[in-house]
Amino acid sequence: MSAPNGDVVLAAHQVSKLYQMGTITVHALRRVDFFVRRGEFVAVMGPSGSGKSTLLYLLGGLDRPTDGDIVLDGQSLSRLDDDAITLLRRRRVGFIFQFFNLVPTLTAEENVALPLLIDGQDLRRHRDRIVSLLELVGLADRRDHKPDQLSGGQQQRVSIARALVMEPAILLADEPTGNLDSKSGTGILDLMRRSCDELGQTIVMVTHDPKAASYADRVVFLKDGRIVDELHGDASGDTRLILRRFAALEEGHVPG
Amino acid sequence: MSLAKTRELSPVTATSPPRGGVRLSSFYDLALRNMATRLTRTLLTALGIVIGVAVILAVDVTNATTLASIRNLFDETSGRASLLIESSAGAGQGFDENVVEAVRRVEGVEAAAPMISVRAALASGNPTGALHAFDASISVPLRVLGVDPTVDPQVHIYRLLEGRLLLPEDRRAALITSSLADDLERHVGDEVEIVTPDGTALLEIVGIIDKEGIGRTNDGRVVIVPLPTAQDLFLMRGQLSQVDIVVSREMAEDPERLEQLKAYMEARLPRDVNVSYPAARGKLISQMLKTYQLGLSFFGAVAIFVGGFLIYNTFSMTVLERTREIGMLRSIGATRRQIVGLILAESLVLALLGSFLGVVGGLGLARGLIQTMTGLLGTELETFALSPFSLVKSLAVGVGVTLASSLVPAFQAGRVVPLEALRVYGRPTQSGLWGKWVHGIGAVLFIGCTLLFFAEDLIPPAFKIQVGIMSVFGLLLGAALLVPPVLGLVEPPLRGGLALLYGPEGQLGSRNVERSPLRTALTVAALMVGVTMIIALGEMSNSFRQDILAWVETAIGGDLYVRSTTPMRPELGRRLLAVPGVEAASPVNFFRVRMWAPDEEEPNTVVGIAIDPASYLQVASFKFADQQVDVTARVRELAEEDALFISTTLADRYDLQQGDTIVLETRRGRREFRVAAVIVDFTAQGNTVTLSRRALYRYFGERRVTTFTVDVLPGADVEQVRQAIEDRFGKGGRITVESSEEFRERIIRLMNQSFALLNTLVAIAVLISSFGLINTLLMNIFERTREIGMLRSLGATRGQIVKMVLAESATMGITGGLLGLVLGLMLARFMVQGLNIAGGYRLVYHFTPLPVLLGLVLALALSQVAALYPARRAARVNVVEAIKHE
Repeated sequence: MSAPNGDVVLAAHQVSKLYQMGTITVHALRRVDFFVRRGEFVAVMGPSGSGKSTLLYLLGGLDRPTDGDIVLDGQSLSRLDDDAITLLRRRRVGFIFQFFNLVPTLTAEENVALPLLIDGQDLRRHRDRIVSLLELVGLADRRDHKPDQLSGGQQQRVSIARALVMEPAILLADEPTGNLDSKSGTGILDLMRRSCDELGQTIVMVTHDPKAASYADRVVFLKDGRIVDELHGDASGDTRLILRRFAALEEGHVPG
Repeated sequence: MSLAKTRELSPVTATSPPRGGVRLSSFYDLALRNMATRLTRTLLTALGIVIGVAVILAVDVTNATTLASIRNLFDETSGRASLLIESSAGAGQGFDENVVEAVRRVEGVEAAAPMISVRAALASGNPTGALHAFDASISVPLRVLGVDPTVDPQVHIYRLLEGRLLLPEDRRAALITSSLADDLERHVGDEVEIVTPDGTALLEIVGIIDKEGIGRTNDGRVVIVPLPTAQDLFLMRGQLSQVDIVVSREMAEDPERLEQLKAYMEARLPRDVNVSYPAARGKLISQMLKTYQLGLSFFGAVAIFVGGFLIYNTFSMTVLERTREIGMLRSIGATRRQIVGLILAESLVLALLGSFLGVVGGLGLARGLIQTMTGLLGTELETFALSPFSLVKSLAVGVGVTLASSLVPAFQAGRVVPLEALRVYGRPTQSGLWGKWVHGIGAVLFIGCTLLFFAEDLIPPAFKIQVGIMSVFGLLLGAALLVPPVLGLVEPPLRGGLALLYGPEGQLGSRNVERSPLRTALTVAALMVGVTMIIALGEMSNSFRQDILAWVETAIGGDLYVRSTTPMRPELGRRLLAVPGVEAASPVNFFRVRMWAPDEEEPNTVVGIAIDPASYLQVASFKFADQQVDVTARVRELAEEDALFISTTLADRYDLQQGDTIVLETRRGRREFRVAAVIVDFTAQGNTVTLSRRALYRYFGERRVTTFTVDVLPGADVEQVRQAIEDRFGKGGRITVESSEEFRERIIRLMNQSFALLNTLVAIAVLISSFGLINTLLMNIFERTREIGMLRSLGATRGQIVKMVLAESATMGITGGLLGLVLGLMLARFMVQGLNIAGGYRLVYHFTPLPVLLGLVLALALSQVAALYPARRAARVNVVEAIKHE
């Protein structure tokens, strides 16, 4: 694994996570080192139970590591209490979930504005930003629709706009295409790619879809709670290569 | 790698909402949005609070209104008078008219208006009413006032609408009120015929006054004539029944000087009159209404109790349903405090909405209650006494209970971790609150409060009612906390029965009740409260009914009651015996009298009942408090000495026993009477003393009779005898005959009226608890969506799923019913006991199976009806959707 160089936005240092399931202790992550540079789009891949989702939760401050530390935007999460982490999440992290998680009683536009509301901001000052985000995700004409009046792909677009509204340091996506058909999924991935290229948005995406991973600048492979492989540059855009590596992981061969 | 199936695109309606942009200005606006979305549930949740607040406010307003109206009525009809002189033998009795001259000579007296006030009837009217059980009426068919035309307008308020006021030279002239004129369709110059002891008299209407001031007397059913005319017509020559006194203004406004004047006059005037303040007259009536109002307050509190439960239940449901949403809000940066605040904001809106609607409903309910009171009192209650304090109190209770009930769910919401956003369905929430120590508290509360009832004698009398009400709540709360262990005990044997009814899926469903202990416990507890109330109220009203009817049977006795608007001559008794079919006739008089218990400074106005002991025992009998009493000796003492029987009510209130003495104010001054026995008597809510007619004549100068109780020969037709009496003596409508059957019906009707409102409140409590049941079942199904999907994928049919839910609900219903049965039967006893303490009744608890059966059947039926919708929802769970995720 190469050492971080350039502007690191998010880093995990020797992070471990243990779960207690009855009498059994599960090692979800074992002393993982991980970093993301500003403007980078990183995909995390791994089979079920590899710890990829756990890593995402820890990076986003949704959960705390058993050991090790996460540094997000220059702040060490282990030194912050729940409220401070919540505040950091609110202002510096954007989340995209597999099941969209929009508030069903709010319109698309209101869902996008939700983080601003939670932050107690005056929405009138952010009207332009909300409108331009809705335009960015292609839903300017659906702004008054409630989630149940939108397709899955459209709902996920709303949640991307919601994730971007606070101009977060990092966007964390948990299987964003996992609940979508391939056409809508492609649209979402294009959108994420564009926000990286055009807005310079840093993105970490967990997925087990090689096609989704191929949109990233870098693909990190996880197995049994350890980072076992990584693809950079052009290699990271090669779906077939990713698929081969992934298949190898699942069969238990760790390529060199 | 297969991609997930496309989510179906919901059709976008052609008329999508106008582009209003973001209509939220704060995060907490989400609360409003949520409530609006779940409007039906919001309104149903508010229902409990609405009812609780409404009842609390309505009872307050009714109490205040009744008191204020009675006070006003006496204030207004007594006009500017500051003091009042009446006969010591009670209002309406006569005294020497020379008292007026004596009063006028007293320094400080500006005017003294002599008056005769007699109950009478219109010749065409239908006289009814007598002092009897429940009869708190302060109205009579007609009141005739004889006034001094020159003095009276200085003292009383007259508002002349038509014609003129009375003149000193008037003889057969009368003023009537506009309301009476409307009723009779009479005008100035017409005549009105009234019944007098010697027949009837025609009076010319010279003026019509407004129903105001003196016109409010007897709710407007009043005829005002010159004093000499009244004295003539009602055989009271040289006599007065009251003198209203106006004093100088300085004196009227200085309570101390007024009290001095009162004492001075009392010392100077003859012993057969007494001086009082006009407002003191309403006291007896307000005392009699107390029991009823207490009952209403209690049920208002129960409504709040159940309402609080419903709020807890609904908010738990809301939090559970929105766990993922809350997790998402936490993920994107909402703090715990913001989440708790969000739920509390919802609760606050609900509290304000519910309390506001409760106030509106309470004002409406108060109108209904005041109507009932109007019926009981027989007079219009005009003022609507809404004090800011009652308003604030009811609002505070509504808001407080709502917020308190939503606190636990709000903190549960605050504990939702952001990771919940990534789950598909909510996890079963197991509250850590529900440990063994909670059962311990429940057991202590339950046993402690039960003991409190049995240790009733140890509690100081002044606190008995408060302690009683508190312990009822303690009992209910204790039982609610004990629900889980009871469920554990009851469920296994029930399982077998439900397996018979619903098959193996019935067993499965029944076992499910163990899974969300807190929620299930609260649901069962709410059902329990409903069933408890049904059974307790049913048992209590039946005991009441049986005791009152038994009392009517024995104590009142007789087959027919002969009454008259003006007192009857005693000789009528003999003439009644001559009517074919009459076996016995006994004269009875009812009158008001002031009594002093030993060591009591303040007198209490009670109802005196004068009987003729010899003939009385032919038509009725006494129900002695002490069963072993020597009846003959007691009755002989009553007949031959200065002795009386007192009611159990008075005996309890003043701690009196046989052999004690009490003082009555008679025409011959204050006299001591020995208590010869304590008897059970429900007349005038038990505020009675029973005397012999000999004493009535000797001390109160009264020979005439107000009622004859007539016994009909065995085999004779009661209706025929009644007809014969009416034909022979009822000329001119002076005499009415009521059969004991009609009398009993009248009492039952009055009783049903009093219980109707309580029954309504109970019905609402049951309705609320069944809504709680629906809510709980929906929550359970929501939590178990995956499990239901799994069962369906294993081959369970929709029908089997329905049966499973029905069985689960049946187990809750039966458990709630059984607990309610135990508590209801206990409570019925305690409530009867409480009524005895509060109202001074001497009721005995009688077990009646009907309310018990009703309670149990209702609990089971409700559990099945309430489960229908949740069961359908469960049956419709989409198998693929349910098992696909996670």
